Amino acid sequence: MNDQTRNTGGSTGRNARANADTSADTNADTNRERNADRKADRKADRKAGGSADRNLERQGERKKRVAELRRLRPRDWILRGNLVLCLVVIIWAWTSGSFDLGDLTTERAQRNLDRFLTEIRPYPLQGVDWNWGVYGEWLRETLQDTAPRALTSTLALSVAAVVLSGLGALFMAPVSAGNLARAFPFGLPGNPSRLARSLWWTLRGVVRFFAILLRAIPEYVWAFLLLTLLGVGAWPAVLALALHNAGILGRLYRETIENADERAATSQAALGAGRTQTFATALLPQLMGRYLLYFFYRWETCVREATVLGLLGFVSLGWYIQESRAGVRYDEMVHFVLLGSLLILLGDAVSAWLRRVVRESK
Amino acid sequence: MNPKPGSAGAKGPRGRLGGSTRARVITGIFAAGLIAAVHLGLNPITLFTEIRSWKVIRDFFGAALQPTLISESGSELFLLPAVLEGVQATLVFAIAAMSLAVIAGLILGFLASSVWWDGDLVGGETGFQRALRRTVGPSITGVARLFIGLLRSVHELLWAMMLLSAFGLSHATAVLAIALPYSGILAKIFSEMIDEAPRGAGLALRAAGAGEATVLAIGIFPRALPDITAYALYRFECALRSAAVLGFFGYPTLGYFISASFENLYYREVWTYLYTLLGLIIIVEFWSVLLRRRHDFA
Amino acid sequence: MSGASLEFDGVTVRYGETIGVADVDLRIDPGAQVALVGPSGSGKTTLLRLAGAIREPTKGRVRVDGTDLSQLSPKELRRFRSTVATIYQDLRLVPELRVYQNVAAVRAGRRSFLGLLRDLFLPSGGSVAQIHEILESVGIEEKLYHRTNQLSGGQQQRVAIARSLYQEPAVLLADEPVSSVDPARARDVVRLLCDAAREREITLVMSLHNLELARDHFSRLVGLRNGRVMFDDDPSNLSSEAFTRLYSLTEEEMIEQGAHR
Repeated sequence: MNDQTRNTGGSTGRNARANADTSADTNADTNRERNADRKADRKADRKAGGSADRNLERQGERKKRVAELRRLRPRDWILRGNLVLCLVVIIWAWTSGSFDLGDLTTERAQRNLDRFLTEIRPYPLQGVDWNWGVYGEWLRETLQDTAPRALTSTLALSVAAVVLSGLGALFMAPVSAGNLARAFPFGLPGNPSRLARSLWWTLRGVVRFFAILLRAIPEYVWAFLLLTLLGVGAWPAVLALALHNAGILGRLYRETIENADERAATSQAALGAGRTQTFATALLPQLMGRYLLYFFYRWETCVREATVLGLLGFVSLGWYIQESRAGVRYDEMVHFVLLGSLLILLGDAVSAWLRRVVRESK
Repeated sequence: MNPKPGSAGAKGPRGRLGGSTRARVITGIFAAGLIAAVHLGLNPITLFTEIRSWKVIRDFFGAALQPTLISESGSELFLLPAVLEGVQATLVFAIAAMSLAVIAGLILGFLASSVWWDGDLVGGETGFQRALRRTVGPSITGVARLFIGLLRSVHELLWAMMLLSAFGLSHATAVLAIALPYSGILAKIFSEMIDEAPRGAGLALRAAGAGEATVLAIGIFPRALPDITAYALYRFECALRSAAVLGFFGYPTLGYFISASFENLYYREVWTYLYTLLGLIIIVEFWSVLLRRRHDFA
Repeated sequence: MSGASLEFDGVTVRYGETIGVADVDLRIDPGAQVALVGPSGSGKTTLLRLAGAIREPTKGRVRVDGTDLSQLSPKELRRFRSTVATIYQDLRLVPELRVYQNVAAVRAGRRSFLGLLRDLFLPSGGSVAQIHEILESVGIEEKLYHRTNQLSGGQQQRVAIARSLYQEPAVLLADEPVSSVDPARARDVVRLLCDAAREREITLVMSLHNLELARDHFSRLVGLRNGRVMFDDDPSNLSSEAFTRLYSLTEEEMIEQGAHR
């Protein structure tokens, strides 16, 4: 059977050229003709005694055609360029000489590691056999006073911050959305004055710039700057988290507004409702579910970051971690880190549950 | 096929209940926010009254409009070399860490997914396959998920602290500090993407007699790849920020320069570095939008 | 390669409570072309899955060329599957790969993993030429190197057909291959499949929703309803009542459908 199929190659060149511009959708008819062609070809072939020469010639012709198709294949230069760029950049990063994974295996690093590993063992158990009772006692003593305070303040920090950022984003998103923040929203007919157009354009641009500035600067940097500017207390930490996340949520919320189903909003606006009214009555109810999903996602990262802001001196988990590190109490430090990791996993679980509740409430 | 009695009628009230669930969630959020604010003693008035010096604030935000490339130390030092050094270190750390994290994330993510032992993609014919389904698969996936949880639930700065305590200061610890949590973060999402990739093509290959490796590598993996790429790009942006922050721990990334200038009260320099970071993030974001759009077409 | 015979011998399949097929006896000769017709949920897909050894019968035997499928070792089963090609309603291609890669991947049953990777990413000129030839027989050889998701729906369907032919199967199973194609094109696709199977002497079993197409292109129709064979005959021997009965609703089913709405 193989030979039979291979023999049909004779009509390739001709058909290929004839079909060069025809898509398969339209050439079903030519297909039938072609089958007839092929049968004729095959008959002719048999008459010629199935000459091997001709067969080879056809094979060669087909290979040439395949090579041509390969040469002409659609290539995505941007994608390819980026792949090459990625490779080059990765090689650059690894060879630029500013670091070496071997640094982790030098003798000094090994000695350091050995000491670290002995010191993360709870203090009363260092140099003696493991005893769960002693460990439990030590754990209770270490965490009893500190853990509840550290955990509640970390949690409170994250919640206060994410609520603030959610509110902030709710104000930023509508005034930066391309379909809402314009002289005549939702493509309603009208002839806005040049002034009105440029005013809206400026407003959108400014808010968008602020959003990207807010999110480009990490929470930790914001906290570092605000700590000096605003003085001690919880405000700098809360604001740092809130600013960064408002930038992120602002952008996500803006995108949901721009991708929203506009029919309800358009008809509202056509009836003469103002922008605020249209947004609140026609868009917000439709988008609230999505807003909440994003909100809970961001809360997860807020918990993560709130832990760490303590390193700068706020009374969250990070502060206790910093303290025990400064006192070279590595056993305590590791346990606080594990406590934080537990809190984060717990937060993720709560967030996942809340997101499911929101999703199912549709 | 199985008629569910009363299913049509139940829909109405459930829909209304859903509305009030959402309202309750929103109320809960505000209540939680209020409790948190009270707990932290967040008084909107003290925010303003406790500010020690309005002048500092004015100076700092005033400097936002006049970033500088000449050092404010008075030595007429040109700042560009420092900016470039910070950018290079930030990029190098982020790229090296991401290249490790993507590889580790793919391996861990695959192990944590259930495609390779559950469902119709693998046969249940041999004793080995049955064991894989019942015990081996679930337990390996369970261990992988636990490991992923541990990796990603420790913040990169805490990883940095622990690695610093363990190995002493070296640039390799910075790379590891980013790579470890990011491996976990990537692995978690990758495993979800692999599990959720359309399985039709894999099933078709299996029906044509393909082995497990082929089904997974040719039938499933290419289908998850666009999402995986897009997510890795987004995480690269985050890695840049993390790398910048590591500068506060003494690594020569942008954070180092920010803290140094800020402590010297050279606010205009601070803004130069902040805008540089902003520029980096904008470039990466633009780049990933471009690539993602490609992927949708391709 | 020539077609294989298919034999269903008192086959029953249960999915938990529901019945897939019930006590089906069917014999299909090598190289024969059979259309399975009947309402959705009547057991057409289940029969095809049985023939492709994707599903084991709860009761009864499925024999292909006289071999009882339940007696095959896992390894033999894999080899057997590589001789059965299936065309799906939803095509089941990998849209991210190129057309020749999609076609080449179907020989996975006869290749080692590394051998297959080589076929896909460093193919020999000979194998691509062979794929080109198959693509030519379905009229899309120009798309050999295109990314599959850049093709139209109709073109992708032809890729799926080419893929099944490249597998060089003894049996070709087609599960509602045209239900998502517009009527004019559906006829072309069915004709293409029938001609290709005839030319290669492959046994063809196709489930079809469209009765008219089935009557026009097949000399043997098997009518299924609720997992049972209602008729099995040449369409010219079948009265229009037979078809009406096949699709008519019993009173019970009408109530059921009403409840769904």
